[in-house]
Amino acid sequence: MTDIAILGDETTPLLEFRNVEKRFGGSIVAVKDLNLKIGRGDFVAIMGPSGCGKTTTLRMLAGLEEPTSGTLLYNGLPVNDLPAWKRQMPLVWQSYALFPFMSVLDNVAFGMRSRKMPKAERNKRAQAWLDRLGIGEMAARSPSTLSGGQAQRVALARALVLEPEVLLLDEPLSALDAHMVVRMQSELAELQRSLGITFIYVTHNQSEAFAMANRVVIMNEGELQQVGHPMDVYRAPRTRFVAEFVGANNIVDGEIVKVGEAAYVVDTPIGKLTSSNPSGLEAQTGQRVHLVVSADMVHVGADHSDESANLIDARLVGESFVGNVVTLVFETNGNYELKVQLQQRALSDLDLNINDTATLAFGHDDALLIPSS
Amino acid sequence: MGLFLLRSYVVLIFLFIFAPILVSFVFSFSENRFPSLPLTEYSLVWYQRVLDEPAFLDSFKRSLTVAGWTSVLSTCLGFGGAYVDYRYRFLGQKVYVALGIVPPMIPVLILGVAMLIFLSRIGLSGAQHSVVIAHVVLCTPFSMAINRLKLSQMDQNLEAAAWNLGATPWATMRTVILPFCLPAILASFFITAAISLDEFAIAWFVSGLEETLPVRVLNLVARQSSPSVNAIGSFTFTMSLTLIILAQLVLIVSQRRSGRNE
Amino acid sequence: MVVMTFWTVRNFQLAPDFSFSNWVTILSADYVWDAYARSFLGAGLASVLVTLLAFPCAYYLGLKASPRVRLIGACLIMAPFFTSFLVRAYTWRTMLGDQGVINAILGWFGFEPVQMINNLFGSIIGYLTLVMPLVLLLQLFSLSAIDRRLIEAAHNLGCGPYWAILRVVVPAAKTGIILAAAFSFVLAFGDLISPQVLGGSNPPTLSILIVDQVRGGLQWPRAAVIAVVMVLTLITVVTAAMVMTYGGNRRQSIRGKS
Repeated sequence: MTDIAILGDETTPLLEFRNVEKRFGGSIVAVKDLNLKIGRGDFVAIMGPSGCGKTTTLRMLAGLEEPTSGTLLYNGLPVNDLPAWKRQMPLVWQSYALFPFMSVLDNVAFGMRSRKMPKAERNKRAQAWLDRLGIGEMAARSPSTLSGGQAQRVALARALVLEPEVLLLDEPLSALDAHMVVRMQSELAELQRSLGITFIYVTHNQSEAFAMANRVVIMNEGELQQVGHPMDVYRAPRTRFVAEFVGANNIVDGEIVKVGEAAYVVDTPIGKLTSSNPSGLEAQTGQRVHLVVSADMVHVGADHSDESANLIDARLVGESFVGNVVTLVFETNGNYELKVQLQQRALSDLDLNINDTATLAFGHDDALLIPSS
Repeated sequence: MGLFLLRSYVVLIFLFIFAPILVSFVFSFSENRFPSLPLTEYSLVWYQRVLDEPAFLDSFKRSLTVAGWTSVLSTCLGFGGAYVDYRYRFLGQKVYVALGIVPPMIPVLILGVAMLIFLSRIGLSGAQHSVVIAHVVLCTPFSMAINRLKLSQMDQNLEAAAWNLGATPWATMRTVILPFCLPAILASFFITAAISLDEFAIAWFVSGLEETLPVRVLNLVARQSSPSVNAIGSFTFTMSLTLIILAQLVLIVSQRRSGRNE
Repeated sequence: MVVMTFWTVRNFQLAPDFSFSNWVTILSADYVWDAYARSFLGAGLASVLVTLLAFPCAYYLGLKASPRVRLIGACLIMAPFFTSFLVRAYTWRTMLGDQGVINAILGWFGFEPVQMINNLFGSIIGYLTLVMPLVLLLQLFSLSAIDRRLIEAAHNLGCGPYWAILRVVVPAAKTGIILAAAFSFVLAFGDLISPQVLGGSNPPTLSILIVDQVRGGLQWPRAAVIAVVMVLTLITVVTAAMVMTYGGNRRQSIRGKS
C-alpha cells in the first residue's frame, strides 16, 4: 500500500512516517515503505501478528531504532537523527522495564531527574501520579514486590508524569490476568480521553485494540495493510490478510463472470455467488477476487427464497462454543468449509445435529469483494 | 567518536593483559641475557639450557605427577561434594556450601602456611604427597562449583524417572548422572590440573626440598635475572593451553554426539 | 572444608606452652604495622584502579559489542588464567627495568630512564596484571546480564548515554562490580609475587613478612599470627563489600514491607 493514510484532521499531523523502511543486518526487512500520519489526540492501535513490524515501528518512534531510509516527522520536523533521550515520547514496556534497584517513587521520578527538576518537586509530582493511579501507598516499595497490575501502573505513572504529547505502549497488557486486562483497558481508554494526548498502542490482540482505539493500523510482514476506524476495518477489510486477521470471516476465491448494475456475479468452487459490495474495487469481468462473508452474517435454515440472498446447501460437520457464541462448521459439496456464528439460543431453536444438511444464506451486500492477492 | 575512543581503550587494556605473555614468548627466543629492542639474535639457547639442567626436568616431572593426582582426586571429591549438595537436603547445608567456597577466598599464601602447619602436626609434611593434599584442598572447591553448576542444569525428574524404570541408585549414577555430568567432570579435570601446574605458593611452603616447577622458577627469579624463565613460561603456557583446548574439544565432541542422539 | 578447623587452633597448638608472646611480638612491632598499612593501601589502590580501568572495557564488551566480539573478548580474557603469573610478573620486570624495553623506547625520544620497578608503581603493575582478567570477567558477566530494556527505558525517559551509565548501568551491575573489587583486594592483599618481583620486596608487605618468618627464621607461629591478622582483615573487607551490595537492597525491601 503506498497511499498515504490520513488520521486526525489537522493540517500538520503530529507524527508522520514518510517512506520509512527498516532493515536489520542488511537483508531482514522489518518495516517496508511505511507511509502513515497520526493526528493529535488519537488512540491509535498498531496491530498484527508477531514479526509484522509493529514493535519496530514503535521503537522507531521512540528513537530506539533508526530508520534505514525514509523520514520520520514530529510536528512537521524530521526527527530521524534526534536521539531517544531528546524525544520526550515515553514508552510503557511490555515487561514494564522498571529499574529494580530503585524504589517505586524513584522510578516514577526518574524522567524528571534528567530534566534537572529539584528533588522535592519531582517527588511531589511522582507521588501525585501514583495517587491518581491508585497505588500511592506503594511509593517506597521495591518494584520486585509489586504484582503485575501494580507494576503496570508504575510504568504508566513513570511515563505520564512527564506530561508527554504522545504516549507509546508496547503490548502493555499482555502479561496480565484476563480480568485485569479488561479493567486496565477501560482505565487506559478513560485516561486517554481525559488527558487528550495521543496514545500509540501496539498489540497482537484485536479485542484489546477494538475496545480502546479510535484508529487501528494493521500490519503484516512489515507492510501496512489497512488503516481506519475499528468498525470500518472489521466490516470492510481491504486485503485478504486483514479479512483473516480481524474476525471470523469466510473467504472464498473466485472470478467475476458478470458485472451488473449494482451487483457482481462471482464464480467460486461453491457455486455462483452474488455480491453488491465491491468496497471501492473497480471490478471487471474476468478479474480474480476474494469473496468475504463474516461468519455472523450467515443464516442457517433459511427457507426464504429472497432475491437478494446467496443460498448454499451444506452439511454440519462441527461446532464449538465460546461463551454463548456458537461457531458451526459446515461443509459444502465441493469440500469447502464455511463458518457460521450465532447465539446459543438461536442454535437450540434450529434443532440441528451433526451430519444434518441445511441451507445457508447471506445477503448480497454482506458479500464483500476484495482484490485477489 | 566516543565509540572509537572506547574501542581504542579496549585494545589498550588487552595490550596490557597480553604484553607480558607475548613479550615473554618473544624473549624466550632471544639470545641476549637482557633483551632489549630491537631483538637481534634468535635462538633456542634458553630452551636448550632448560632441557640440559636435570633439576628443571625433575621439578617438571614432579609438577606433572602432582597435577595428575590433584586433578583426579579433587575432581572425584568435587563431584561427590556437588552431588551430595544436589541430591540431599540436610541441616547445615548452607554452612556446607559456604565452607566449599572459602578456600578460593583465602590467599594461597596463607593457605600454604596453614597447610604446612597442619600437615606437620599430623606428620605428613615435606613430601610430594603433602603437596598433593594441599593442592586438592585448593582445587576441590573449583571442581565442586563446576559440577554443581552442571547438576543444577539436570532435570530433577531424570533420576526419579530412572528409578521408576527399575534402575538401582548405583546403576542410575552410572548410566544417567555420570554421562550427563561428563563434560563438567572433564572440564574440572583439566582446570584443576592447570591450577595445580601453575600454583607455587602452597607447593613452596609444603614441598620442602622436592620442588615443583613453579617453585623452581620462583627461586630462579628471586636470585637472578634469567631468560630461562621465559622459556619455561612459554612452554608451560603452551601446555596449559593444550590442556584447555583438549577440554574444549572433548566438550564439543560430546555435544555433537548428544546432538546426534537427539 | 577441613581447612577451617585449623585456622584458629594452629597458633596455640603449635606452641604447647600456650603463650601470647608471638602475638605480642608481632603486634607491637612497628615494622609489621608499616607493612600492614603498605599492603592494605597497595591492595586497596589496586582494587580501586582495576575497577575503574576495567569498567569501560567490560562496558564495551558487555553492552556495545556484537555477541561475536563479546565471545572472542571473553575467551581472550581467560587466556592469562592459563599462564603463570610468575612469568608474567618477571616479564614486566624485564620490560620495565632500567634497561628494559619501555625505557629503551623512552630513550629514543630523549627521555631519562624512569624507575618503574622496585617501587610502588611496580607493585601496582603487578597487582593489576594479577587481577585485571578476573575483574574484567566478573564485570563482563554482570554487565552483559543487564536487561538492555532498562537502558533503553532510561534513554526513553530522557536520560542521555553518560547519565544512563551512572544511573542505570552501574546500579544494575553493582553486585558484580563490588564483588570483583572485593576479589581483587583479596588477591592483591595476599599476593607475594608483585611486591617481591616488581615491588623490590623492601620495604616488605605482610605477605613478604610471612615468607621471611617461615623461610628465614622458621618462625611458624609468628607467620601464623600475621596470617590470622590478614584473614581477619580480609573477612572484614569482604563483609563490608557484602553489606554494600546486599545491605542496600535489603533495607529497601524491608522498608517496602512495613
